[in-house]
Amino acid sequence: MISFFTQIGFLNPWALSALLTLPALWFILRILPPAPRRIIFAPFRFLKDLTAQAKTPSHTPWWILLLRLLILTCLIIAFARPVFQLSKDPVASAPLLLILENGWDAAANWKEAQRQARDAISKTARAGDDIYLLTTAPAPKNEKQISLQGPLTQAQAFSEISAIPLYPWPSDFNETTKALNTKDLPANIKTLWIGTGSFSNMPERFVNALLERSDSVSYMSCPAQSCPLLLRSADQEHEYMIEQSVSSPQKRNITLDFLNKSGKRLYSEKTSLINKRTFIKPDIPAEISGKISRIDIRNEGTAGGVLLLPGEKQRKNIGFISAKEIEDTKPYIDGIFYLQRALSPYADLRAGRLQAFLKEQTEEDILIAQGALNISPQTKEKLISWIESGGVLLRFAGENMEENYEDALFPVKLRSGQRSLEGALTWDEPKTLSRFEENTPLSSLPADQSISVSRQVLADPAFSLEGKVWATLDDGTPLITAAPRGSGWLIFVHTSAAPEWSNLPLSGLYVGILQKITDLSSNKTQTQNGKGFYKLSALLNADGRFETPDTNIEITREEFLNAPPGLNAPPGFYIYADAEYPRALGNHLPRLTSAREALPNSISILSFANDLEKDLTALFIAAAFALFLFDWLVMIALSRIPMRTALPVIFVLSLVCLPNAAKAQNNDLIYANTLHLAYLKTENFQNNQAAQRGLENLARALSERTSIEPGGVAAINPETDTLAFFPFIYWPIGQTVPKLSENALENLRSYMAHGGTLLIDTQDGRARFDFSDKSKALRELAMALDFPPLQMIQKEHVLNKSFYLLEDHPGRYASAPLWIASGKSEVSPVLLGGNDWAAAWANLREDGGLDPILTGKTRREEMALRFGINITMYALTGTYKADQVHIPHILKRLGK
Amino acid sequence: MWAFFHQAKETSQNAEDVLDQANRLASHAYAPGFHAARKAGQGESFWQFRRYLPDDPRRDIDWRKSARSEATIIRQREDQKAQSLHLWVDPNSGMDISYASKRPAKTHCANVLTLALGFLALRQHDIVRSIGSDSVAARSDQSMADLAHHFEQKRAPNFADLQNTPLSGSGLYVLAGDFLEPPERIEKNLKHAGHPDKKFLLLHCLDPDELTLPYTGRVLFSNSAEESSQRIDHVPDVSAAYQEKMQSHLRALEELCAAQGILYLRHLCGEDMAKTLNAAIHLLNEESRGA
Repeated sequence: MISFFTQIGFLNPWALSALLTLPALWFILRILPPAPRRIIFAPFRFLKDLTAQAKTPSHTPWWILLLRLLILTCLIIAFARPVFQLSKDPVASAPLLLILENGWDAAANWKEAQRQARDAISKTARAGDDIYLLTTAPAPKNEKQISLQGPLTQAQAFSEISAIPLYPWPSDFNETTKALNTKDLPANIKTLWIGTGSFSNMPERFVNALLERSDSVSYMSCPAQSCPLLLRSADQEHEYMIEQSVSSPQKRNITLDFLNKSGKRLYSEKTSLINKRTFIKPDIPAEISGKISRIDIRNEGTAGGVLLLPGEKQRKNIGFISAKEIEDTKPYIDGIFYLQRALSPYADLRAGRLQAFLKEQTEEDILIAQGALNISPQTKEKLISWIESGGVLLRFAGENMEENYEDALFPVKLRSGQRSLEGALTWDEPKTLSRFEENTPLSSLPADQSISVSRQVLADPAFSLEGKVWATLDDGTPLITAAPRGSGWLIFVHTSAAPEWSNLPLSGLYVGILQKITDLSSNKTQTQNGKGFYKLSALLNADGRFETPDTNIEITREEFLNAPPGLNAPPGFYIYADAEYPRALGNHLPRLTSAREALPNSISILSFANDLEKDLTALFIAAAFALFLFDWLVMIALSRIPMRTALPVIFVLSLVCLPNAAKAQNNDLIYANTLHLAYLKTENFQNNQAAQRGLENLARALSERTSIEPGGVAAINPETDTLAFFPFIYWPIGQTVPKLSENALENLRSYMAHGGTLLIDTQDGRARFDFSDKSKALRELAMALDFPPLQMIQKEHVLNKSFYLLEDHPGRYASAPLWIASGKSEVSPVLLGGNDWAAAWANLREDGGLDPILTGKTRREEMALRFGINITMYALTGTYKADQVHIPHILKRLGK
Repeated sequence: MWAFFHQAKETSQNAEDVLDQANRLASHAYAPGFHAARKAGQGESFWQFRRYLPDDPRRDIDWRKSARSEATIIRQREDQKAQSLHLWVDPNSGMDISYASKRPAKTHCANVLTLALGFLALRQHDIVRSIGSDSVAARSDQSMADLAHHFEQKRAPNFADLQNTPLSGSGLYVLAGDFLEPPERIEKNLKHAGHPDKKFLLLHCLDPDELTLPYTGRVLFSNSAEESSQRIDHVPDVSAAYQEKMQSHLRALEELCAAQGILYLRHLCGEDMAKTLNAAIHLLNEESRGA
């Protein structure tokens, strides 16, 4: 405490002389009597001639006197401009050039760097000298470029410093040199360079220019213990390197977080750093390692502390050629049952007719067929051209294939008939898998001897099978054959997709084989579009977080691989031929150099100063004000001012002190002035977050596509908020139906009764009224809220055509029915469904995490957004679209 | 405008409070009839049988009684006379001063006490009137409200005007006030008091602070109209002298009442009003028995 006071210095010490007047003030305050009490007295007549002998010593209580003197003392001290830890060294009177590095490495200690800069600025400004400011990182075209600013005043410099943006690429000292030379600087200028302690490119030219123009240069950076870290990939797979520009004086403990694409932590590893380079090879379980898409140094908060990895592969779309829908197939019997289970981890399987797959601009990468194809020559032509343009046709053997053997849709020529190796009339043993051939996509798979094949279709050995066989049985007959066709592949598995012919579909190998074949299709697309551009899809910003890039950045493959990170090739994820490729900062920067190595001896190198000056003026003024308020309260208490007079003052003061109360009313004003989408806040934080983000996305979609431009999203509490402003209210119910208070119920009832629409989402994909507890609670809720009779929505309902023409209403789920009031004439006060629309609107992934990268929208998400748009339209326009006037237009849109 | 309404409302509210309080006070008071006439007259109850005299009205003859005896007997009833109770509460603004927040002002005490006496009089089928305006009169509990409003709105004549006010009729006159004027002037104002069929009761309402002057330190005193003021630098110094003056005033007032045959009763605000009321009833009963 004492040391605190000894460290206070004063900028206007002469003002302290006013303290000498305090004793005089004490004296004056003592002799000035306080006002006498006034009493109206009825028997005044009797007092007329009376005079008191003694006089009451008219004194103010000593403690009030002391309080007032304390107020004065505080004010006098405030005028003397007290500063904590005032620098003792005489203020060098020279203008200051402040260089503030704002590259990727500045982010780690940015707050501290800003404080140091402010300290230097206030010292210089106090001496009355000019300040010049220079930043070092190149900025995008639409932002403020590197420039030498000055001369600035203290206030200007402060505001400039607060506004300096950080960029996820290194400083460009060539640009900085150019900027330095744009202005004449005073001859005696001193330079303070607030850096990061590390250099990824050499600043020689800049240093020379600086030394030439400046009287003295000091370089200031954070201590070695907290210098920025750079995370790089090492040579070996799954090995990483953490680099720092100087070795740490003591162990520096860090944690690496391994995250998947949705930002969920899958694994973390602790390590400690001493040397400049530390290699780390974490022992990550194999099933996780494929999913890791970024590695973070925890709490580092820079782009250099993030390493981006290719991560999970994109899901493929696979078509199964069949006359039947998937739902109609027989489980455990049909091949598609096994295919679907094997493919589900990394691909979406869809069943349909071949014509349908070929007709639409198909998204399918792979088509799978079992048995005979039975197609017309025209369709066959189309199929072949599809394969030649890069498709993969995977065929399994099946019954009734013989008439097809001659067609061109097999990689090898087949022998007629099939071989049955097991049965009542055969003596052969089932054949086992012998090997996967070398130099084929399947060669890395283990040849599992337990795979036995009891029936197969044989390749005709008369023709050359060389290079076409991928897997062989132990008698040398092929199990899997393949041949390239154009830029696509024809692949034939000589046994069936279901386990009737072999036990292959029951084994793990089945999954492996299908995965390799699925990968094949993606290889194909890469090689196909060799000359495209890499387009930035998610920018890693200076804080190590993803941002949507606001400018369109496209670079060639050459640049993507080799260009130094900078304005034109920032770190982040790039899209190239429908696949994402990471570009991490660490893998594209040269070795880090410490300031001592990079800078000549003529520059003095300092660490951040700890003893920063702190202006205490405001503190003393605040203290004086607080004491004054206290004095005032005491006066009120002493003079017995009736409460009726004091209350309004206290009321006004409390209004000033409670800005939140005023804010609540402002919200109502905002909701009333612009349209807001609203959801009911629930107790589940994740639910609320998903609803918030989902509705924000929906609001954006509405603004982009329709004339509705919502002002924002409101999270509302039915207990307290006014609901009348919102066209519809989304209520994600979550796991359990919440109990609402009578007040909230009444509020909701009146909202529904006066034209509001409540969209209730059970978020479980069911929304059926059965005998579960949730259904029971829902039914109770329906009673409490006076729901009208509900029915499942019909195809021709106006909701299905209020903006888009909709068939169904998918969210994260697609199966739940949508319940709606049965009357057709007016807007239904309640819609009840369970498809978890918020999750789909919010791009929520299966694992529940929010996706930080906006990847390509899936069809389901798009349909969910359309449903959201329709709901909003329906709530706002009612049954307008049900009018017969629209029918010709609708028919036109339906193509009829 | 608003202030006017507010004041009007407040007055009316006060009047009702006062009325209510007075009614309650009266209903708990023990008050045997304080003016039976004790002679034959027009009343309801039987008084005596007497021989018929030639002047007596013939319808008074009790024929049954006469048939049983030889003489003609008449039946006489006790004479009853409706008396009037005349009330007056001093309207001067000094009565409204409240010296301590917990004590009612003198006006309040005076109003409650006089009205309570009024309620008691109504039980005797008397008429309650306000001095100075005969039109304000009550014959039932309901019409007492008029009286309460009358006093609350200070429409009674000033004390100084009382000597010029014609006091009509006989009966009991109750004057409530603080009577701080010099005794000579009080005597002048009470010149009606000597009249034989008018009985006067002086209800002297005072605040305890007015008796003792219990203040400390420097006080600036001013009169009720706030037109003159006096600063006393150390109040305890003068309080003894003040009390002396006050006591002599009270003595002078008591003597004056005794001389004029006026009943005198003092009430200190904050004290139990029921006690004062009972004392008043007692005084009046004594008086009527004595008479």
